[in-house]
Amino acid sequence: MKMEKQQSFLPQAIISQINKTELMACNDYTKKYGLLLTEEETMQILERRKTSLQSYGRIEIGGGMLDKLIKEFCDSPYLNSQNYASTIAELTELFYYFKNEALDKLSDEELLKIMHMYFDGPCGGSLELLGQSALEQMTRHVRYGEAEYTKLEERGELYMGDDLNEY
Amino acid sequence: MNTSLTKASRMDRSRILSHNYTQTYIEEAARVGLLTPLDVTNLQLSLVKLLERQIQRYTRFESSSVKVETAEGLMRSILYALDVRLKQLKGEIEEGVTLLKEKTLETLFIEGFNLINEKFNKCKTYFQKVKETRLKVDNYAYNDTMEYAFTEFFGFYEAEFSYQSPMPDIDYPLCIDDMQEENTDYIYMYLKKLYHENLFCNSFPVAEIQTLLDSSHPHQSEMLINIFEYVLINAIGRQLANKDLKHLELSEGDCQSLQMQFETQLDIQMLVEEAVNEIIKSLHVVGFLKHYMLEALPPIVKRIKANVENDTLNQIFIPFKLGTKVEKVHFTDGESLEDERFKKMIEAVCSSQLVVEKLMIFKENVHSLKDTIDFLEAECLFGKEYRALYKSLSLPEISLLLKYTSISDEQSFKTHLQEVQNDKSLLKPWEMELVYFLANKEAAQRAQLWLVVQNINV
Repeated sequence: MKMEKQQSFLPQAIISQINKTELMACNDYTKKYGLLLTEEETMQILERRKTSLQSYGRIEIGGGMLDKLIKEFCDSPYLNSQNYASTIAELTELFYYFKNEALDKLSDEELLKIMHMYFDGPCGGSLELLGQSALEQMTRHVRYGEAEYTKLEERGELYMGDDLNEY
Repeated sequence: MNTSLTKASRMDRSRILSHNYTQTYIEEAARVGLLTPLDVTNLQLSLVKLLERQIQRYTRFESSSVKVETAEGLMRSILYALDVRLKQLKGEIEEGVTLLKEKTLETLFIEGFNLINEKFNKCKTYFQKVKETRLKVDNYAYNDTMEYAFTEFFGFYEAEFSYQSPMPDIDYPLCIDDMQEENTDYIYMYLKKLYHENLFCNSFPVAEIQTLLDSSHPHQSEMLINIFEYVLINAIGRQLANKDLKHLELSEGDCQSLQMQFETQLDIQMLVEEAVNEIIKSLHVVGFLKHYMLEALPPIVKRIKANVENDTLNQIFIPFKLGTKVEKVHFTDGESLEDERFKKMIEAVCSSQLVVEKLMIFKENVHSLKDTIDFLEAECLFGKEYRALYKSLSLPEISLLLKYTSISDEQSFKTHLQEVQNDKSLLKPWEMELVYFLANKEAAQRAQLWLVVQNINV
């Protein structure tokens, strides 16, 4: 059967679909920390993932990194049943933003570990400090090719001052 | 009588584009029904799977996401490998459809990038030959291309990620440049042609090639010209002037004789072609180079005809001008002050009220062009103080300052002078004062200055 209209061969958009069942399966792992996602919260996180990928001009393949992010952060002392879903959603957006800021020089695992380290450490559970101070400084070091970008706090080079606009 | 019937191709070759071969091939096959909508969908799904595979391999399985630009580049690399594989088929156009149905896209992709790898290795071979036949001439684009353009390409190219890999930064133009090719196909063709151009030029003394180039334009060394074309044209001129092909020299008299010869000739194209065929025979040129020389003729013939009409043949056949080469001077800067010392010097100048004192501080401390420019830009002088400073500098020193401005000849100087006088200048204060300083010089003195400016490299 002849095609009446010339059809473009190239696929127009590729964003891998993660279904909510896959994400909610993480509850099996996180329930021991008292953290569970409802169906509605799962949909909100997936929507945040989708808009973040589009905003920051990224595409994700396969299963994505959401399950890795959840498993990395679920033992954080700053997560509780009230803030769990919103924190995960915010961390998702920060993750994709800082993958760009680090010029894709950090692997998923490395960036998640650094985010967790700063979040539980000098940021004291503050997403604002994490996003606007700690990670900005760290990724600046990555961009300039400096080797020990995970040791800023040890070297006393991590500024977590009140004036977040300084950077 | 040939009784075999050739099956008419259902696919229209003109709809299949060289640069988007796979994509347009599949679209055309679908248009004529050789691929069903289901076939096309399956191919699309295979392409997406292949892209996912390549993203994983490109990120070494360390990232689940990449920037859209990266994914687009990876898609281009995949399609380029598929293009190379499909273009390899030399039979009926429909053979590609059979291939797409019998083999997976992943298999075709791997076969394609193996072919790209082979082409890359051939590029290396030709580059070695190009280096061995390199002409020792003073032309920046030629030498820069030889020495630096291919370094990153040969160091870091990966066939699997052909569009993420560095491409050569080529400045030097070929006589015939085919932009239809892409990636390694283009580079292979470029190097092959460059090698053969070098081969032809090596038939003549390199000193004469240099004289030919210098006679063509005083600034030829900075121009994007094709050396082979100049050599070929003068060789044609010598052949038509019944001179031997051991040299390239032509005189103004030769150009005038050629003018008369062309004016009396009905078919200039035939005359030139005969000359080239004689050159080919005399220099024992065969194969690729022979075809290349003949392919180069049409635009050359067109230019000859135009110059015959205008009686300007000496603009295409270049008469030698001996002794016209102006040697370029290469400037090496002196040692600059440390930041702290420089800062203290500026403070001292700013706090001084006397021009003499300011100039003394300048002379004692500033010994490099860099510091001189920084000093002028620090704006610690005012009005005529600049001119006092310029008066204390030598002609070469003034010419070095001018290299940092947009004032390089009499024309640009006059333009800037007018703008400064009409208060419409965008020049910095020190540059404006320099214009005033130059305005007080005789035109002959300025002419000397422009000559130095144009022949000094900083």
